[in-house]
Amino acid sequence: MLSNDQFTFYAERHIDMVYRVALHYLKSADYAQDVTQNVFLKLLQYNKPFESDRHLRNWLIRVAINECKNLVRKRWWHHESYDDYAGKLSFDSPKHSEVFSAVMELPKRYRLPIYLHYYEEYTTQEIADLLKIPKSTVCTQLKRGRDLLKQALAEEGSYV
Amino acid sequence: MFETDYKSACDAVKAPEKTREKILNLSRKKPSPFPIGKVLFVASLISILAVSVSATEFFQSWLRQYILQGSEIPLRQNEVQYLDAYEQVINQSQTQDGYTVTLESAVTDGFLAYVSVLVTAPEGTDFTHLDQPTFTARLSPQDASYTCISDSYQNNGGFSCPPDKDGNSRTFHWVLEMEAVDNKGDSLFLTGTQWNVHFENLVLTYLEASAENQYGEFIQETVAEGEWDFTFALDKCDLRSMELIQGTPVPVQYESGLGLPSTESPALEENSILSCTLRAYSAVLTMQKDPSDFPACTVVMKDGSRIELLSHTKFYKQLRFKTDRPILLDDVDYVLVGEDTTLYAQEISQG
Repeated sequence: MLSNDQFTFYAERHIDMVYRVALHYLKSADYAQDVTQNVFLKLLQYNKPFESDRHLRNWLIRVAINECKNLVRKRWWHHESYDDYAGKLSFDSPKHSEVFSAVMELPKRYRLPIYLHYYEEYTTQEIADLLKIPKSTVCTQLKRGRDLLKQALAEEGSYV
Repeated sequence: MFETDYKSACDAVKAPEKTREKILNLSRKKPSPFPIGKVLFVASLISILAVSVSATEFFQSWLRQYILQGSEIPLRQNEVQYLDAYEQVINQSQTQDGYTVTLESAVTDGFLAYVSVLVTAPEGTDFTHLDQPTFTARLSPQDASYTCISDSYQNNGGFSCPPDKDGNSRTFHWVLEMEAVDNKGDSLFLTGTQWNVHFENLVLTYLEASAENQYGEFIQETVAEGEWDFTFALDKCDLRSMELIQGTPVPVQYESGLGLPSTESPALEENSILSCTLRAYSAVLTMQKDPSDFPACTVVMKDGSRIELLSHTKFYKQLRFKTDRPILLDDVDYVLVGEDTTLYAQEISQG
């Protein structure tokens, strides 16, 4: 089990990553917060050692995805609008806001691979391992996601 | 550039302060068995509801959620009616070594079948920290020679039932998925055919620290030894199909080059489609030349809604797709292949 100091260190380092994974999966800030808390509670209770920060990150992402899937399966689950939350974020430029909204408007199956690849810089094989899907599926999802983003951002007047 | 802007955008997305404080406070107090009161309360309600709902409804709802896992659009009324007509409830259970395996329900279009499976661990088990429970599993016909195109069983990484009163989660779902043909290339999942489902040894797979591998090593631990065998007969199959190409091959162009980094340009693939066959859960494009990649393929319904076909397997010159929701053939308007190749709906064959 992690000591209090270790837990605090890792939590501060990775809270935002877990929150972003959950947000990309669920498209809901409230549910993403619930999932984030659950994930770190599980980290607190986990009693096997982590060899490296990378190992821990992978573990956190996997548990976050599992928690998101659990949530979506519950009968009271309903999709929420990202738009309500988008207004509360403050980006450095309108372009950043456009890009982030465009990603959040993608179908769910593309959002998480896009986030893991472009922001967390995982390779397609690593994403395949994390999401438990074939590498070719990850490649397809990244490609389709990029195509949809190109279309959406071109319509907005960006990246023509 | 997209990557730069997206990274900057994500940098601005942070967990709210109150979430951060709650998490950092976790280490300062003894963790409760189930920390979020709201979720516990609702989970208890679900528990009560789940008991009062009939087994048929509960099982049916899980497979429907699985089929929709890539989609955020709930099932429409006509899709619910379709599944009511074609989802077969199996509801057979066996227990070995304390673990109960239940075959819940199945759907098939003759070529692709999904069978949902529930596994319940003994009381007191807590799979909360589980990573990847797996069985050796096999779905096979009793009396037919066949060619399996692809098969998989997927744990959907979570626990479909709410935690029990002790806060433990001890159930999980799989879906067995199989695409196969008989040895003449015709449909295998036919009404009246008998199917065996075999499971062997429940193995937990989890990621453990490793001196050799910074990402950790997958460790497998057998938690339940035994074999669980079932037999069921298929009595609900939607064997209808629609062939969208009548006679002349249709030329198609599409970008190919899966997995390219965004800095590289994809190649343009030119080919011709000899046939495009749609079924309830799958589609097959038979190409003139051996294709190197899948085109985007979307079914457009008469009401304008779209079902994106998911690239599944390449089988000789066939590109096989599966869907994340059933295709109601009566409501198909056309199929869009690549950017601009349109194949219009034709007559439905009853199969």
